Amino acid sequence: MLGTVAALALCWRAAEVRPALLFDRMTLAAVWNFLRGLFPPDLSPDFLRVVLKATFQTIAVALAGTLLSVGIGMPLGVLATATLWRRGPLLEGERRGTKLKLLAALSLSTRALLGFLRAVPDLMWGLLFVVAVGLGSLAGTLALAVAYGGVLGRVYGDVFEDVDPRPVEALHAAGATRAQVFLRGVWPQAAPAVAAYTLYNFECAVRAAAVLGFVGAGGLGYEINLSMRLFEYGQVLTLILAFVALLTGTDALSRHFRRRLHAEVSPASPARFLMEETLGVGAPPFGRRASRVLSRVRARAVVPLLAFAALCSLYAVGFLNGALLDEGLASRVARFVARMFPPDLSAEFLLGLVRPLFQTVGISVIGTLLGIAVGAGLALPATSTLAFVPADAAGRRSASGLAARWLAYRVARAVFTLLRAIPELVWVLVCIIAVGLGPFAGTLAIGLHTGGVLGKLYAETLEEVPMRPVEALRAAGARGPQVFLWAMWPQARPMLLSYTVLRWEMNLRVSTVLGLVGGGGLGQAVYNNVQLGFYTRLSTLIAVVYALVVATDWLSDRLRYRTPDECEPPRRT
Amino acid sequence: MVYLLDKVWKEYRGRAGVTRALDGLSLSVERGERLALVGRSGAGKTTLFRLLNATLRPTRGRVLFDERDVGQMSSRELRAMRRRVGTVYQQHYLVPSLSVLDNALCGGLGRWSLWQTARSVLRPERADVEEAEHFLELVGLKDKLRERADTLSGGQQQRLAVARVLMQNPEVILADEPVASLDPGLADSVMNLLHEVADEGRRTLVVALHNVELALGYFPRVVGLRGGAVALDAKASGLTREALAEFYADEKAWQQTPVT
Repeated sequence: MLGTVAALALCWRAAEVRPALLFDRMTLAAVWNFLRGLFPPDLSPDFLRVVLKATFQTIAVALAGTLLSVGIGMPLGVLATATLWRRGPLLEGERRGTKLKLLAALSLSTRALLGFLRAVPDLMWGLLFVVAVGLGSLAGTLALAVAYGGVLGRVYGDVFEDVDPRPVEALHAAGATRAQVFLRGVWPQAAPAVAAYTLYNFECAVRAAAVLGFVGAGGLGYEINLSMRLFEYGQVLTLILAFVALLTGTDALSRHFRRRLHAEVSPASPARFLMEETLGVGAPPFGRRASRVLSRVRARAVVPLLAFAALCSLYAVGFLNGALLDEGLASRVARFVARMFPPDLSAEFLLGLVRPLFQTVGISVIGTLLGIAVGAGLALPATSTLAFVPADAAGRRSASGLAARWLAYRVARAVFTLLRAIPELVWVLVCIIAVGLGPFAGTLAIGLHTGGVLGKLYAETLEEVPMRPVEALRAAGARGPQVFLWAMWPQARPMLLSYTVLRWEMNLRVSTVLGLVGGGGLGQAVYNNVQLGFYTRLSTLIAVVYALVVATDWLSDRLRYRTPDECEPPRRT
Repeated sequence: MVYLLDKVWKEYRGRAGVTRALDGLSLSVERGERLALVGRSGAGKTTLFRLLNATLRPTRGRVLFDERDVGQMSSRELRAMRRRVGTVYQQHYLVPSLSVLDNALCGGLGRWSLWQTARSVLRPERADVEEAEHFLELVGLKDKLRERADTLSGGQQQRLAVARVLMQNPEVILADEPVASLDPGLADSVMNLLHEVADEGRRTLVVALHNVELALGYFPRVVGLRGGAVALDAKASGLTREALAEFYADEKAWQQTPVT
């Protein structure tokens, strides 16, 4: 307990939180000035052309990046699949010779490599590639390819591992080679899930592609950053609206096709459960008419269509024309990597990292706490089962009370959408206007974005709690707060805790890159050393970020699954 | 002699400790022999099957196939052996999202090169398709060629599994509870089918069964497993139904023996 308080105090200090600053006259004036500047949004034809071009550039980067990440992720994913190389029916009859041991070791190290590619934040990759190949969308594309290649490799590997092992064993027993087993036993079972995850990945890539612009990789993020620095807030609003529209559109389309793919997975398949858990294939995203039009498009047709668009995008971002062939992209990257070695391990540099390291942790912890406060405060009015009593419930109700509740519900939901839709990096820029450069701006930015994410999750979790105990308490005469405390909270607690810890883990990753735009922490050190050309220090910093992310993963797993699982997987005889 | 198992042990290492599935089992099977394998669940039948089709290595002891030690075979030799041993698994061992025809074609994988396999995903060779269609007709699935395997009923899936093994054209057919999920009429038809197929090429047939009637009715030799070893090995003609029922009734003996 005392330890927790001390740790929190340390975080508070590291994040340089100064609440008084928020209510300072200067701060308020700056925020007011910013808000007033947002309106009216800049809708002049000239600027709209810029927005359109930036939007297409973002889409192109996302598509090209996704295609390349599939190219990286697929072979690595196959190699990382434990059931092909390390354990299970395919290997139990084999003599463990040197060749098999080597393959198993290769498979394990591929898994480690995928972990590394995923652990380094995509923005960090973006900055590195900007240094290696120069400003522009090519750097963004390569960053997405590497970062999401790691994500997809891991996901593909998991999907391949989760297919029903019995058909695989049957083909193996009929004398099929490993490649044949994969082609005819594993792939047909995994294909719909692979397509669905790839689509989902594209959706994430669109968001990331926009944000990558902040480190100079082109697209919407670049324009937002630029307009912000030129104090053209009307342009900022237009760009953010375009960004939100782009995300909403991609999300709806991708969700539609994911649902269709989901329907193709056989009901007994473990992949089905996995998809439901992680892909959100529940509610239909479109109205009935749009769905009917879209349902003529076969879900599997989307994949080649996307692949074609991605090829065009590869051309558009300059991956195919010139950059790869003439100027030797590979050699430029190789030269950059060579300049990063050996890593700078001098004592003075390492000691200098202690402060930004604490700052990063502090930003993520205090930012998450702030997010919890914002989210929890707004989640209660945003929970429909708490805000509204069933229409046929007995008793008198006043029209004004009802209207107030309805208004509070709508406002809370709208605030969540606003906070969530705007990426953390944009929030950092806004907060810098208010409180100046430094970790406090980063902390506020994380708090605001997290507040939106967690608030929505909290409200939805509370709504999905089994209702019978709630009704029982209502029937016994309990009031709203009592119902919440005694019927909803105990049921929702594990889920709420799990979501919150998971979010903190994500926030830690984000807080390592906030510094790239002035939000403090390790990102600041990365940015400074890039500017100064101290590339040997970069490799050290990447290693530190990697270690920090791995440590957080471990801690977060410990916090979320504190009870060891008692049930063992069924043994076969 | 097709198989000779000489004092074979198999132990599984799990989190709960070591479980012994086979406990010094010895068995020999002649070419062309018909053999029913009986025993309670957990007696080691599935483990024995996986040794016979070379998808599992024994912890100790030797398995000889066609007078060669399976433990000494290279990966390539193992694949060649697996091609000669066909296994009819219980249902669920089909690839659920592939069509009936594709599942039957999978029996031919052992003969195909990787290139042929890749091409067959798009367009299988005419001769292979005709062969597969012939076998599917034999098991009564001719009208279901294009349907997904997971839309078939349990009995149909079982018959598809038989067709896949026919496509493989093996010298030995192993069948693990091939009639467990079928009603009696279908069970008889699958048993007859297996025997017809075995008759055709003087194939060896080893079938694990729960059903005492079927074991006595269809097989000249009955082998009973208990606690991971052979506890009964007799001609069916010398066995009474009561003696077999008694073998089943012995409650304590069939359980797996935890070692630690």
